[in-house]
Amino acid sequence: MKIDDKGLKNLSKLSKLEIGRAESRKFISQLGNIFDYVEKIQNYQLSEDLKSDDGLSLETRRDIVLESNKDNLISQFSDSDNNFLKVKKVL
Amino acid sequence: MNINSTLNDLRAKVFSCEELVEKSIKSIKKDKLNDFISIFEDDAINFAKDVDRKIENGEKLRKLEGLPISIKDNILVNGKLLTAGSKMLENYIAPYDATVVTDLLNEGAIIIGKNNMDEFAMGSSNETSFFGPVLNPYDKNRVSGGSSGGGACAVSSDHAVFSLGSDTGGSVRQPASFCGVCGFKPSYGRISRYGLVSLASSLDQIGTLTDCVEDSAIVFDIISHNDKKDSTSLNAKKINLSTIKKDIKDFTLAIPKDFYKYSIDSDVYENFDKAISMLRKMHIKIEEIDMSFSDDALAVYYILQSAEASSNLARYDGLRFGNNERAKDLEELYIKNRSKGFGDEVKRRILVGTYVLSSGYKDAYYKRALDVQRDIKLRFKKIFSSIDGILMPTSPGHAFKLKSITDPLTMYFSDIFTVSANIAGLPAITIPIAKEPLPIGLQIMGDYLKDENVLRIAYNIEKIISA
Repeated sequence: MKIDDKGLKNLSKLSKLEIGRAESRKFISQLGNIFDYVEKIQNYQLSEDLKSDDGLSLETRRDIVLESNKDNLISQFSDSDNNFLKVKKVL
Repeated sequence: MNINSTLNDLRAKVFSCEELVEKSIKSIKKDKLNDFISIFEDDAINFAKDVDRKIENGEKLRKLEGLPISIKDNILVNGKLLTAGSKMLENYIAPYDATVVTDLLNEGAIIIGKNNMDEFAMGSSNETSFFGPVLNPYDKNRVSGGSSGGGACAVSSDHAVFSLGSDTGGSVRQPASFCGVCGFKPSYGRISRYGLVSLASSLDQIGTLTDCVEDSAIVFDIISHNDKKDSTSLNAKKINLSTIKKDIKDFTLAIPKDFYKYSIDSDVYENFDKAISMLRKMHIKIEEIDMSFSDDALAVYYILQSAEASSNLARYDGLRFGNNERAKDLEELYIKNRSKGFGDEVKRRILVGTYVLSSGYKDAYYKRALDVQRDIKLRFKKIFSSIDGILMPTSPGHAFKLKSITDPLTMYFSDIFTVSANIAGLPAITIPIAKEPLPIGLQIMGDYLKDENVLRIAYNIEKIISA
């Protein structure tokens, strides 16, 4: 799996990182090699037993959207103004 | 320096605690191995004076009272600098003690400082530290290993009686092997991670760096317990310190028949072979097993670890943590801080993690890696149904020269023999089987929660090899 300039730009935007032009070439080559290597797991033969209940499954909570009460949430914050949460100025 | 002999000498007044601590701190400064990021000289000396007063008054001493120890700089010590080897945290002061730190302080240990490490524990040579590499005590032109290179170097150089490190893919065992000390990574969940800076939460485990196996067991016994502050912490049965000294004549050990296919340094191969021959001469049963999945385990590791790291490191935004670069809006503030605060290896792993978790590739990489991880766990479960421990070299090579490995993938291969234990949550320890001209380690891996067996096997092998 090769990665190009556009792909790296997209990834760095998602990662909130700025990759300079000089660094880009190095990262494209190194990430390409890493992606090529990890690609090998696609050929891994899973055991038949894995389909049965082996007790090794990763139990995860279901992602369910629940209704929330805006006023209740805002009231729990230390400071608010007109339905906005007030935080210390950082910029 | 080992725990029992140092405690005996303190109690017998062969030297005072103040002398012991002063000697440690002086040698850290004199040796210039860069194994410490911060040293708590005044605090340590004051604690030492208290211990001396206790000894003078004939008071009862606690299990680790007066021992100078060190802590990896990704484990919180209240009120002290915590950098995790990164520019991002160069001024961060820890607001509380990690559970393991509380445990050690409660037993009277004296923390003399925080050890240098690869940035956010990402690295196998300690060269990614913002504070410069740790030098190998056997050859200053070589790396100490990583990421807990500072702790391994400190124990090897008698700067500390023992040290705590963290092991996500071999970060305790590989530097221990490079510096000629014992490095123990217990089963996942046996030691609280509360107060450990997260790299990959499902794989991270605090471990010990010690002079001998008995010391690993002593420290493990103190810091392994259930902790409500860590939801992954287990309520497992404590080890029995006297059991680890029992023989292993009823145990069956195994070596992976396929590890020879990897490029292994000839001296590592020869010393490993010699150690196995010595064990066979002692009539210890050693079989061969199939562990051909080691390559896949490394690929799984770099997917899962990068995915979790990219998520865990999202908190370093320049607001809650990190330096405050000026910016015109919030987005620019995040980007500026993260780009200037993180080094190349951290950026690389965040990019890989972001990629494998992105909507188009999540199933192909992240979910697939989780399936392969489950399969590897299952294979280990089968392997350990008939054997008690797996023996292999800790690393395919000995400590390499500084700056000699520049390709990240080549660097990742130095973890080829250690990552499987993290992927399956298994206990594993490295013990030195050679020290000159460069140290070489032998790794013993055991079944999940059979930490006591791993320590027992290691104790016996250490005894046979040093005889």
